[in-house]
Amino acid sequence: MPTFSLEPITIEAVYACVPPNRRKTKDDPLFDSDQGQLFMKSTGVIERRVADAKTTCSDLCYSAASLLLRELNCADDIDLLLFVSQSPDYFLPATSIVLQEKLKLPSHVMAFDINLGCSGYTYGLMTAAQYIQSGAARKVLLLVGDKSTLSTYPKDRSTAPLFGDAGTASLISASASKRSMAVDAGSDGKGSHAIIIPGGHSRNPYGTFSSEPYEQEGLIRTRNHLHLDGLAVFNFALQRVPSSIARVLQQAQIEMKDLDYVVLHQANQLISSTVEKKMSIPSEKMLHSIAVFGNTSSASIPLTMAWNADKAIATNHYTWLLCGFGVGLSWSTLCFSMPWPKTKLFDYEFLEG
Amino acid sequence: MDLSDFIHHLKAEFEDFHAVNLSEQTVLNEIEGWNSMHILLLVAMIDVKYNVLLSGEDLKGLGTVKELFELVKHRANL
Repeated sequence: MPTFSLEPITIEAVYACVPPNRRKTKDDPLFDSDQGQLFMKSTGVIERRVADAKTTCSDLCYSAASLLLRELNCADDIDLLLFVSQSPDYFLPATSIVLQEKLKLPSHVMAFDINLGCSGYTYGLMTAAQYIQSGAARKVLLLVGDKSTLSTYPKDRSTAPLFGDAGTASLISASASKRSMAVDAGSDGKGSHAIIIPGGHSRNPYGTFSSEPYEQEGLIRTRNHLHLDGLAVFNFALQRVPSSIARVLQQAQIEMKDLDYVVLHQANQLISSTVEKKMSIPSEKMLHSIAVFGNTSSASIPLTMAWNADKAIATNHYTWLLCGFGVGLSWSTLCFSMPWPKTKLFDYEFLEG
Repeated sequence: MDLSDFIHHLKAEFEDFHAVNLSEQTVLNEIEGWNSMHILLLVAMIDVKYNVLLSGEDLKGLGTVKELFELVKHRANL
């Protein structure tokens, strides 16, 4: 099980762009009042953002990235562009390369996609750190997000009210910190069917199955849409996340009390609060955003950092623990020190208008 | 592990649900309105209080509160 250290990185900036359209759980026609209350109690989702039909994940990431590049004036220093998402623009080419052109980055910039969901941001940081450590990249533009509402069936109570859309851009560079970055990561393909869109790609191409909605265990969806086994994912998270956190703390040779901030993937509030209790994480160290954005897949960690930026003191260095986990099944946990990144959080129309 | 404590924890978890009359003979998935969200809350409570993580397989034939208690007690002692 890989637990290792990398040379330290710093996240210079995190810009996050969300659609302006808000959906409130209390107004969701899928629930009566009691069901809505129970859903909010267990998931923590009070409202979320939903992109319109024309807006893709790459549009949200593009808006975040173009503002970041303009405000930080750093386009010439980018050597690698990563796009981490499970809602790319096309089957091919890679969305990262479409974005390289759209962002007017030069052709010497390497660009590739990483097909991961909820564990994607921490895998993206880990990948960026290795390119920086090797000397292949000075700065990395890490674009992470998902338009999950594209893949949820509107009448599926287990997924449609849970997910929100977001796109983020992070600027990653080498750090002068003497403390290395501790990493713990892994995969569990036995759980590959716990979160899956079964139809529409090579295994089950369009035309080989019915696209009609069907009912299974009280849930309605089609084979083109997301299937989520909530209890299997819940068990996975409670088995893997606490042990991964423990290993990364051991690798970093620090204790829980030495951490300033813990940012878990915002899967649902019940997972976060259960991990918090099991690991005795002081609640003031835990950052959240699920109440206002829902589960935003790979975007949830950077979005949570941007949402909580009022806690930042610009001159301080903080010790961070970031943990992404989910679809795959897959997880990765990082522990490192850095100042609070420069952050910006804005609605999609803000730039376009 | 004590059955009355177990029932107390269940009642506390589901106090805003129909758990007022919950007893050792109650079959949880026969309570009106019981659904998958309650199962997640139940699994989380048991994991935090007893360090026992129940799977979907464990909960398939979810019987009475007493039977659930015995399962958790058995797992906790392994």
